[in-house]
Amino acid sequence: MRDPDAAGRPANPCASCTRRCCHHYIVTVNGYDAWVISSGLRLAPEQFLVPVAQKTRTPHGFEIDGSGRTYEIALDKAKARTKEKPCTFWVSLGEGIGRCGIYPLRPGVCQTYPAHIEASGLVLRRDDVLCPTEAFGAEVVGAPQWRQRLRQMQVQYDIYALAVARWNCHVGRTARPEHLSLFGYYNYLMHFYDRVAEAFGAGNEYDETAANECWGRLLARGFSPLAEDRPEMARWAGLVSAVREVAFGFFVEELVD
Amino acid sequence: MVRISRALDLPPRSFVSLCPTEPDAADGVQFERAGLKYQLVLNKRGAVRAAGAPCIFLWKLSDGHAQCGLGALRPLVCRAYPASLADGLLCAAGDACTCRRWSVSDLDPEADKAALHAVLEEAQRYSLAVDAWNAALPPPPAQRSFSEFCQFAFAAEDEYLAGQRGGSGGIDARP
Repeated sequence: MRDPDAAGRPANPCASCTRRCCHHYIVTVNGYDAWVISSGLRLAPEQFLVPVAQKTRTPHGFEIDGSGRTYEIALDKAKARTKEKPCTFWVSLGEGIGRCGIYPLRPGVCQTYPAHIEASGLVLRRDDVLCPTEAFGAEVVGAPQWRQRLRQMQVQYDIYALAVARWNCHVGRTARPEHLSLFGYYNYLMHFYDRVAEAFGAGNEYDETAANECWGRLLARGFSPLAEDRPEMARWAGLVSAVREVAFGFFVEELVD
Repeated sequence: MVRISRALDLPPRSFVSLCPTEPDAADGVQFERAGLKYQLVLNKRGAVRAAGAPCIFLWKLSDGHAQCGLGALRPLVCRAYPASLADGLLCAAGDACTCRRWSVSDLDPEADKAALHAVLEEAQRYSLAVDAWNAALPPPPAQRSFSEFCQFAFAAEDEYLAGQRGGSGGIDARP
């Protein structure tokens, strides 16, 4: 085992996990998270995702019919006799010990838990953290990788908002509403992120840490680089433009008017 | 065991059990001189019945699809499955698979031979370590524990990794 740090905590804070975060929460994810898991494990999205109805519409709420109801995607829960069902990917090792069964592919919200980033850019531990108090000292989330993961997640949610907006536009305009379905949405998402991955790998300059930091700061100020060109993002304008083009490459025939 | 334990910050006892094995098994660990030999096996989930029981690391989706939760961390023998060598020829020995039948055309000759080579190499290295451990057992009635064996295995792996990085030195099973 790795040596505990000077404060006597294990090197990996999750080593003392009492599994609460993987049981208590409904883990809503974005399209990128779903694509990473689906392509990494060769699973169809419907095998591990469930739609969760939104009480209040957000930029991540997608429609599947013309009713105006919106949904988010969340990781499914496993069957269990316990009151709080574990995440479908939870591996129980008995005696309260367990681990994530898709750790390298886990969603952004899991990678960043229990940290959050404030509008000022300060990274803090959440107040409502479920981890044992001895596991995550407030100073743990001060390490640079937490900030990088949080910024990456912000960027991914911004791209996901564009994907959702494009889909919802399609829902409102399609000439064949009877063909709309949850599976159609999942299918669209997988194609969307295949193309986004191509855009990221197509020679567009994107220094991830610096670009995500800049992108995240703009979001905190209320600007999305996907919605308007920003001078701060000039170095990465090619990539931003390519992501926009991905979104507007879908359902092209509905854009004529 | 060492690789999984370190990567997941899990104590070996949470995922590994001892299973009695043949007296001449090359990977048979003893805890007292002339005592029974044991193999290390991954734990099973639930009681083992006639149809077997799932590996402790298997997760299962609500539609019944199941997959290994260890991913790239899974043991070499799992990574190589169902490839095996019979008289030096690569073959697909996937009889234990209930979801599909495997044939040699499913295999990647180069990658699977390399995987099998890695399995054999690691097995050989492990049996040398086990030999060293067994040879260093104290005279009766003294016994060694599973925890002590784990400490030894961790040290042996460190020794090996140091050797890989350019160091040297053999395995020392003395406490």
